[in-house]
Amino acid sequence: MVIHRSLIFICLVLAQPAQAQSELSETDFLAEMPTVLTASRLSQPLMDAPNSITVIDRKQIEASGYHNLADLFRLAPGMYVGFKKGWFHNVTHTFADQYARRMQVMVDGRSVYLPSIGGVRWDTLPIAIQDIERIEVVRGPNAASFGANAFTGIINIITRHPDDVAGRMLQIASGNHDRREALFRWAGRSERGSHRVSLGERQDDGFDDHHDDENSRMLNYRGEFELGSRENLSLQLGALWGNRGEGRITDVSFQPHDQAVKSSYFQADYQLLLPSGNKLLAKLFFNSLDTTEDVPVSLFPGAYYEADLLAQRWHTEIELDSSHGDDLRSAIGAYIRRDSVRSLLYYNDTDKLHVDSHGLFGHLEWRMANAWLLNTGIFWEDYEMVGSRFSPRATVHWQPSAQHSFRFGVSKAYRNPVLFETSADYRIRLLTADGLPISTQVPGFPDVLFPDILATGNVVPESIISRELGYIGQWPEQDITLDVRLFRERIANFIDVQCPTGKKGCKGRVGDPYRDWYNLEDVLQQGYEIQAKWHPAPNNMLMLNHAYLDIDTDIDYQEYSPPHMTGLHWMHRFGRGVDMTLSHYWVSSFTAIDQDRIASYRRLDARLAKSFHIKDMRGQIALTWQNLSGTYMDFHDSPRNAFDRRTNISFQLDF
Amino acid sequence: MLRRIACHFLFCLLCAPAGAAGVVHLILSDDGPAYQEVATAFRGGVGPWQSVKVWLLAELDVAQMQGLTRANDLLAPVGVKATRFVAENHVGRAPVLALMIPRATSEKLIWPAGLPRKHLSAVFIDQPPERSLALVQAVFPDARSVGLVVSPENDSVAKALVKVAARRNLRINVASVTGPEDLPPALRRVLSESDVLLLVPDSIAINAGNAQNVLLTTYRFRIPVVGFSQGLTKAGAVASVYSSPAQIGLQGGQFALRLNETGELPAPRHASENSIAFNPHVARSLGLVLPNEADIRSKLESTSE
Repeated sequence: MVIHRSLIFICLVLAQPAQAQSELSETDFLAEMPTVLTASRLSQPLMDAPNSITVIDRKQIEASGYHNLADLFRLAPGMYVGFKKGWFHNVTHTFADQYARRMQVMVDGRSVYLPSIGGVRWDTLPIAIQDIERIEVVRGPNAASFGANAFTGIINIITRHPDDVAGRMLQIASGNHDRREALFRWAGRSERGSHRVSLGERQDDGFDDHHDDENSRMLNYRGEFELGSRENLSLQLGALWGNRGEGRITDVSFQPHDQAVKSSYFQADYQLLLPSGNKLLAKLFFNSLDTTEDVPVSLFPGAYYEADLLAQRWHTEIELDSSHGDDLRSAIGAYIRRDSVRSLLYYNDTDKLHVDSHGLFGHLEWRMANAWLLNTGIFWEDYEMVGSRFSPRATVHWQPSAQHSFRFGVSKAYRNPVLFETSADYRIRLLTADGLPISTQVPGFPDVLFPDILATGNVVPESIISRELGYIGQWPEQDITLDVRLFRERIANFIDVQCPTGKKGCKGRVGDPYRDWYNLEDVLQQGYEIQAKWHPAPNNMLMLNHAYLDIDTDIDYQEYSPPHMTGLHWMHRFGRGVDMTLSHYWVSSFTAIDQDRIASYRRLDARLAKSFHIKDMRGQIALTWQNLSGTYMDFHDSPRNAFDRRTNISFQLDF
Repeated sequence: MLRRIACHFLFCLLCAPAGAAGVVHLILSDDGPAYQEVATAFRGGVGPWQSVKVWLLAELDVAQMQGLTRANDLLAPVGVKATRFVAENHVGRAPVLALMIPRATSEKLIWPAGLPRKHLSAVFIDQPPERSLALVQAVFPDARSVGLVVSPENDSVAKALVKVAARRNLRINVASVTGPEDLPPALRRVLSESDVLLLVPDSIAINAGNAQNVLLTTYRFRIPVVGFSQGLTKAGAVASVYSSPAQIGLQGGQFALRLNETGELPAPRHASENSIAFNPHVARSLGLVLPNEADIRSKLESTSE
């Protein structure tokens, strides 16, 4: 500290003058900092959530090696994942159904549920697995927080913030069944914000003996703009287009052909931090899925019909998150939405059909005492054609310590009938190879066939009342977490298509009654779901998922979801950048809605990856094997759905 | 009467402690509450035998400062501005005890060649690396790697932390930034490889201006932050260990007392007394179970400086 001044004096004269502002001083320690992580910015910890939520994080997503979005849901308990076709994937939480209509599925809070036929076309989402930060799977209904159709559960896929993936990334992959995939991503900052652009292409031949090959091109963009220290705007848009193999050689009225898909979306999210610390959110989004196909029939040479289907959704909502003191947090909001569909085949209309809905929601999180927490909320919705309904929910938590949380909750939710269930008017119009009405080729043959399904629109929404007991435990010293959920759910007004006489197969001749949609008998579902995670060492994780479901009902489908599903996952990081994952699944025998019974099966998936550095760049090679256990019938009992061993190699470079 | 006064005076002279320095000149960089706190606590620590005169830096000009340095009374500048002013205008032999300044800045100051080492000291505002890492391990016993983002001005701090961390079986991931545009990628890289982020004050890496971006990024990565001030904990760091102005002032007063008694100032050091602040809301949201506060304090106390 004592330096000869004379020497230093000369140096000081020659040296740059010190910049007083950037020098470290006591003011850096004493400064009042604005509360950045305010209560409304903090997300609710899992311990305090009114549902059992499984978070599939980035590490698990990478370790799984899955390249189909739907496969990621195997990592949560109680989720059934089945492939009806190579590209047609079903993800359900109880109620395994081809058109899995009973879950709300969102990407960054934007619902991707199809208003036309319900469910989600996972293969048309313009999102790459590499763009996903984490997935939150809520098991159980929660309309107050997630809006309409949050019936048996909610899936929210959260994409990666552009700041978190800055730079360039290239990934190419190749696998059996002629699978090829390439993804290029760029992310960076500009003056006012950060941007992320992803471009991808993939193809896959699907199952053997199935005409279900797919090819897609995809691009998406996400931009985050800081409009000020308190305002933020997020913009997203994306598109995917490609072809899907459809039809079967054995089906006279549905011969092999290609379905062209075009999907696109736009989303804007605005966030404003109010001076009080409360947060205002506004959201606007638009989704569109346009599938076009000319379906050949073997009845007459060259004859076909058009099966085009357009589904669109406009949605805007506003929400205010507030905290009132240390113990009370609330969120209230409102939304309006317009769903539109157009299909000559499905609705017998060349114009678009619209369904408008609007609603209000509110929920409260109240820490009543140190160990007691109340989560309550209500959702009110007015859905055109079915009227307005309330969906209330309340959950009480007892948290005797920071490590253990018990909860008991009751929740009611509705599933609005989709447009096909209220307005179906399914009539085939056969055309000649030149696109002329069939009667020009076959005189006397009707140009418009009898309706296969003709909806009278008398269905009311399905309802679910769910009671559940949950427990979340954490043992930080041993690094174990446990999530247990026991539930008992009653579903009323189950909607299904039937003949008026109650028999399934009444379609056919002129004069026969048409199939229509009806509300059928109640269903009682009860069971439990368990997830246990253990980190025996920092580079090691073991996870066990187990679910049991008992279905009691008089409707035709008495076992529409596997009674037992178990998943065991082991992830290990060796030294020198080598990672290994092993996942084993057991799924018991069941019959999905409208499908054939499939036998129980086991499946072993594995992944081996090596990371390395080349100069400044980070690279990774990964080998994945899906189903090392032996071929099984997936979702539907048919040799076409024989799921064999899938192998894949991928190479990724970050530069 | 005069005789009685003279005797009284002589008596007082004999009773006064040896080497009574008389006055301590406290020079506050600013009149804010923190500096006042230092002054008040200093008085308490210095004891009844010395008087303390408090100056505001704004009141002193160069001539007055030089005059003070020519006397023998202890000069105790509080804050960097005052300390720098004393250093730049020191033309005498007055001992100097700098208070509430960061160690890194203190080491950059230049003092007159003639000033003996035992007449120059400081009580730093920052924490010794041992204590910061002890807090990290006490709050996050399972953490194996600690992230650190610093600019070259904190080179010595980073080196010291790495050395101490090795002894404690911790790995420090250091990212160096030379300008604000380096910060986001450096922060991301460090966050993806660390269990905890340790923040040390750094004009580029973390300041009142960019604290928001830094804390939001750490929250997005779900990585807890250990900070260096109460303000940072309120903003979103899960825990911080800091020495308050009062704790620093009290220690400064004790140093002044030692100078008075022995003629020497103790070596410059970090304040021994410290406080810990927690943000239970952020901890809870991250799903962290904070160990018992009393346990944490006792673990910190057991670390030697």
